[in-house]
Amino acid sequence: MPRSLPTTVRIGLLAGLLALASNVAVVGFIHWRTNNQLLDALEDSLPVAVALSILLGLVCGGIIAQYVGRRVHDIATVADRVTAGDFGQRVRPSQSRDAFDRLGQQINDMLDRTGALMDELRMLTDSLAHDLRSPVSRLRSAAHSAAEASDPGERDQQLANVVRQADALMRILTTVLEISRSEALTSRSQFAWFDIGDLAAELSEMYEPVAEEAGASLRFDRPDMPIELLGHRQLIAQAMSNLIENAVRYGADGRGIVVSVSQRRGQLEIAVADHGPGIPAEHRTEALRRFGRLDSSRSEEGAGLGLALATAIAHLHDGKLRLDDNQPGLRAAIELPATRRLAGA
Amino acid sequence: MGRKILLVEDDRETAAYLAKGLGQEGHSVERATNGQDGLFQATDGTFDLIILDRMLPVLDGISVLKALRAAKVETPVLVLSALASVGDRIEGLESGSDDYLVKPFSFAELLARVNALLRRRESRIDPADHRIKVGDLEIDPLSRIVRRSGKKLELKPREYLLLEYFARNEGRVVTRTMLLEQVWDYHFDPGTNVIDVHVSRLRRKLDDGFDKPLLHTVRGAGYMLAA
Repeated sequence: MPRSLPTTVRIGLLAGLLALASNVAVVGFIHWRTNNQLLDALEDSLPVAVALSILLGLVCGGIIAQYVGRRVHDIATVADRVTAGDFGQRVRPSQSRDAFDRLGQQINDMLDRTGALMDELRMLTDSLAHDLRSPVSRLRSAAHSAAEASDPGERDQQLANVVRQADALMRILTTVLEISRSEALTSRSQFAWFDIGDLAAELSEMYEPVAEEAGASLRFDRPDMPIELLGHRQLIAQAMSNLIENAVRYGADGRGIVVSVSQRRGQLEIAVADHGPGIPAEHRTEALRRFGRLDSSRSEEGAGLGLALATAIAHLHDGKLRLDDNQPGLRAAIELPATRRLAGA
Repeated sequence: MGRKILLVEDDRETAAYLAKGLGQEGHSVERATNGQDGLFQATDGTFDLIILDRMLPVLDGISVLKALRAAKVETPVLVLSALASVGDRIEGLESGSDDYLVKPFSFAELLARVNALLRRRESRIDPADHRIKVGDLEIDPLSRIVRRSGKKLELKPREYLLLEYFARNEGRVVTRTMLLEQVWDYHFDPGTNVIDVHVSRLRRKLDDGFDKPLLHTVRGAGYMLAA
């Protein structure tokens, strides 16, 4: 950006010199075509014109240089203050809607986005530290009980519980890691084409007995045509299995769970719908958040991360996760663009 | 039937724990503490199995693995790693390893995988009759027909795959994660008891109405098919 300052000054001077040159050209032209007194008068005034032109050029250049300098200075000041730690600073737009305003706006957008990411990260770190307290304290008390147990049979049982609690803790950490990996878009190199119908059929077959044990039914509405997707098969499978597991866990009472995949108007949708209690509209944003549990009774192993992971995996594929009312129940849908950009943004 | 295993692991505690456990199983374990030494010892080619940590000093595990495969050393490799994301697992498997185990793991899980890899090598050396027999159970992988005491069992496709995998690992512990990876080809951890549900369905078809059960639950580890 600092390079535009001397460039603009040069443009100002150039404008002045061009004005001068055209003056001389006009005089020369008239001189060639006519030969009257007007010309003599013009010729006499030529030095004055030259002086005025140069002066005008310098003044214009100066004004432009000063304007550009001021605008750049404004933006640079904001950048300096943000660097110094005042993250609330933003570039003030002028009324002129010029290139500097656009630049300022872009810088403001960038700062907003960075700020949002920082807030999210801070919240995640806070909630991670907070949410790990209960599994860690469960682990601690299990270890304590194992140490206290005098009967070998009981001690074995308690030690098995210690291992189970440690595994639950690992699962939470793995999922958190998976979420941040997905959001960093690192796994895009493992994208490949596959039929989402095949995958959905496979997962439905896998979870159908689980749903049945939970007293529900699970059905997959397979479309007639294959629906090809360029994506990460394992991660999409994981996102879908999270949605199906949620449906089995919370929505199994009632009639049944329906898995569907569809494609229309360049949009691909993988949906899992249940007839359970659903999530009220005002709580849906909270449900998508990491550790965003809707009630504390759900504080089982890893709970509160499934939907956040599904969201992160949808983002990895330039899509999103939508929660809707299934009237009654919850309809969770991963929406992905059917034709994808080539470059990883 | 002890085997020669090369353990390439820089963490002293983990290495000692694994070497002790594998030693108790009757295997002889040689150790290397960095990637370069590991590669040097592995290219000898006299090992039955290499257990390779992914993050090693001097030369990382994946580079060692690629170098080994490039040098046409086909010894089975089990990669151990603290890198737990699905992407990391896929990368680990695609770089030429035979199995990938995420830290922390139970010794039972490691042992089950070690045995499965050693077994695979065994069967490669000795190609048997294409039918698999476990007690009075007979599986024909070509027609996918399963009989027990001559009676035909009606299995769904996935149930058949599950049973075939169990049968190929007859008498060995098979963990839930191994089943998920080998029978379903999923490399993530489903939170629910999905594997248990499928195994218990298979068990009903396999063992109900017969005096002697074939499919056993191994507490704290997984399952085992044995006559």
